[in-house]
Amino acid sequence: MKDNAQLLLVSGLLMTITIIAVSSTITHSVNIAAYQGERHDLTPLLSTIIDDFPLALEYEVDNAESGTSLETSFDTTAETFESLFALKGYSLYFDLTSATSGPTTFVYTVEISDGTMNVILDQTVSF
Amino acid sequence: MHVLEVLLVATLFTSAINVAVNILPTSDANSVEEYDLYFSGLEILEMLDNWQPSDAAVAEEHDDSTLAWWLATDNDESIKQYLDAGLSPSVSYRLEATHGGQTEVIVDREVPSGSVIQAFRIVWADDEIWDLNLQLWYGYREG
Repeated sequence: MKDNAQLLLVSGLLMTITIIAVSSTITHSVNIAAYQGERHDLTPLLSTIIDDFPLALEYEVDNAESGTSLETSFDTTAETFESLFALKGYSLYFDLTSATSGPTTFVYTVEISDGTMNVILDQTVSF
Repeated sequence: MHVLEVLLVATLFTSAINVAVNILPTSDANSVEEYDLYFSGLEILEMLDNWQPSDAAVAEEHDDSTLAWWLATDNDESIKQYLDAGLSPSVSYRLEATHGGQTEVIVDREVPSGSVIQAFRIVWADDEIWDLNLQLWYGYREG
């Protein structure tokens, strides 16, 4: 009777270890398969943010109604870019650090993400 | 004696499960070809945007961007020639641009019903934001 109880205990222990090992293997395989073949590269999009955003911002500042603050012009331009990138499946966020006039200078941080890769850039633009 | 039997059964069970796991299909794997097509579209538009016109006056007027220059001057034929030459011959495409609340077709080709990848580029040209949508697919390229 005692031998049978010990055998049952040993077999139960081995089965538990087996199930844990198999579950871990399956989880690992699924996680790898989910990203298999993916390519993440934000480089082609960064040039748009670095080169074209300041041009749009300069135009917005130059053509804003009298009394419009630099912060408002920045927010308007940033929201346009953020919306366009959101429609393409990218998360883009502009965070204004400071805006000064004479000459007009914006210091801001840009954060872009495709859900897997994340890039943060500190930018200073003067015109 | 029974201990050996239990160990044998446990080993066989483990082996059978591991073999099954190894041959599981990865149906949710991503298509490498689709990623290649998407990034070829992103990169070819980026290169044209970063390509500085040789004429200094033109370059200055269009912020050192050939893409901005051709968009601002409605030079659709040059854009088409550039994309035809730059993309693989096995790839066809259609290019649309949205700016100032209107959408225009720059290179008009019929989009097939199969797998089509959409690349894009946001460009500042002619005092407007241009949202370029480049649809790409593998297949015969019409003239």
